[in-house]
Amino acid sequence: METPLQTETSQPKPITSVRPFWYKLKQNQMTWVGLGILGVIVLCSLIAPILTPYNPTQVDISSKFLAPSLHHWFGTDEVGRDILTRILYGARISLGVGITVIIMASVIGILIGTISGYFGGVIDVTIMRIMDMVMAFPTLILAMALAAALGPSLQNAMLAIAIVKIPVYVRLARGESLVLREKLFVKSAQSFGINPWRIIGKHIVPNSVSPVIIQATLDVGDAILMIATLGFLGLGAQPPTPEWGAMISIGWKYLLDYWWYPTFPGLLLFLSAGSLNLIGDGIRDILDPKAGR
Amino acid sequence: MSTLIDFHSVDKSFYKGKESVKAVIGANLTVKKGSVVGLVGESGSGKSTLGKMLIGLEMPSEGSIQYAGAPLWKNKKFIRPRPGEIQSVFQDPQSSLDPRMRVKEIILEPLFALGTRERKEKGSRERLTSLMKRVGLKAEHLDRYPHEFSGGQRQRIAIARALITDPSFIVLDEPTSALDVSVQAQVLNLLKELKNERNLTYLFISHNMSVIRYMCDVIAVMYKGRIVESGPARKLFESPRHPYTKILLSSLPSIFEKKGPALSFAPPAEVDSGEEACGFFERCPFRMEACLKAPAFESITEEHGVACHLEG
Repeated sequence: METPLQTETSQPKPITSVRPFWYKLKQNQMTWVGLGILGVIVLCSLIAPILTPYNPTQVDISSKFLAPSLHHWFGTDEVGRDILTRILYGARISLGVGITVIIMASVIGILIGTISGYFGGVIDVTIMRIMDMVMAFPTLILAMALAAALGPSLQNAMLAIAIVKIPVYVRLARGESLVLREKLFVKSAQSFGINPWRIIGKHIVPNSVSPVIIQATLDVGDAILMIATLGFLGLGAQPPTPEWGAMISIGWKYLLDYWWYPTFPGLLLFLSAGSLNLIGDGIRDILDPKAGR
Repeated sequence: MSTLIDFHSVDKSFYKGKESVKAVIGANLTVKKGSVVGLVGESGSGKSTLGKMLIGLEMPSEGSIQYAGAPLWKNKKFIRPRPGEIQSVFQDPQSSLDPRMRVKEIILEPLFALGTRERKEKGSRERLTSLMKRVGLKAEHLDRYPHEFSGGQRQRIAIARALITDPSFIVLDEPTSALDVSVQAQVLNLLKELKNERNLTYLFISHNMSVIRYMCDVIAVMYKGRIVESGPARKLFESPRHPYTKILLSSLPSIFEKKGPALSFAPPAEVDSGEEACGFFERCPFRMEACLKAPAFESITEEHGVACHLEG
């Protein structure tokens, strides 16, 4: 009855060293366009002191509203500050704030979302109803209300945007962890008797992170626009801070007479939000196998 | 051989709204230390549910399960004997290994249920490499990800993970049914060798009769949540008593001559059987009037028992 069956140690499969991430990235030209534009903006803002001889907050009334020229490529504003200089220094604030806000929102969102989805029950219902309440408001209106209530400053504007952005990430991460907690590797970890927090940290979070990264990349552009909007409404960065939204906010009043004042900050805003969206689309194509071409 | 696990009239019902499904009904089963007990049955017969109760993933609705004399479930809570004492290997190694973890982390994972000192001791590099070699993998595989392995190799990783805590009992839930036949044989042999080396006890869940015959000492046949026949493997294969077991065995391909015409399921009964009837009434080729009342599980010999009116 018990004839020894064929025994033979299995041959290890040779692994290929193709890095699929870089391979797919190379094929995605629009992502490169986005990365290129954003890279130039970031680089220029970092080496701004070398690129321009002017100070972004130095007032020089004698040279106010100068049209674009060789000395002032993007012209000057109502108190004679060089607009190019202010845009370059402002990139640090706008881009930095946008990225920081999204990192804050996505980290907090993924934590709350995975906890909510993994434990379920009362915890889940409570968290999700709170998130529904936040989501029920139009994001910009809520951010404005929060920023106004907290008092107009850049920090408060950041906080307000982060708070209104959190529910999106909570829902994403919760959806993922609802699927993951039924997976066999999670079930087997439970059967070993492993602490649920460790299961969340080791299995749920790492496996639900890629849709969150995609969403985050797409959201950075949106966050920059929101911080600029709040700045435009006077709820974000306060003068004389060179923030793009604040510059547009003051500059639009002069649009008819001095077109360059609001146009160039707006152009930069458009370029960076657009390139971040291109990058986001690219990352989505790379991380989502179903969308692969 | 002493008794390691004792199921005593275990029931399990699943509820969805007002509807309920009985997955396991009145299961009695003992697993002796050092033996391999096979659970056979078609899908949905409740064999996996029975296994999941032992590793804390499903709670029995009624009845008790004893492990080495102590109850496993108390006040709706799973009482773990010693962390890592009971381990499991699942059917699908594709989904039972986290795709984002390296093999090393996967194998060491069960140790995180243990104390720090014991974890360091059992997770030492030498132990890890010797375990990898034992299950037929190489030490350099430790830094790879599960997707870099074949199905058989992944199942070997799952086996190594089960062994890292030095368990004395392993639930094998269809460990080879996702593998192709030649790899199945290798994995089965590995499991058999490991059992003898480490004096393990297995609960082997499968729907494949040939695999069960190769592996098991004792077999329990399940049908619609009930254990309809149980007994030593040899006895059960030589002289099956329950019609369902007979049909299962007669469907096995054999290199020997068939003894008679193959037995098969009867067409659905015209009589409405009702709640009380034997679970197999609908499809039993030998059904009779008496079967409208469910038969009790009765012993034929000390180890061999069957639930059928034809016997007894």
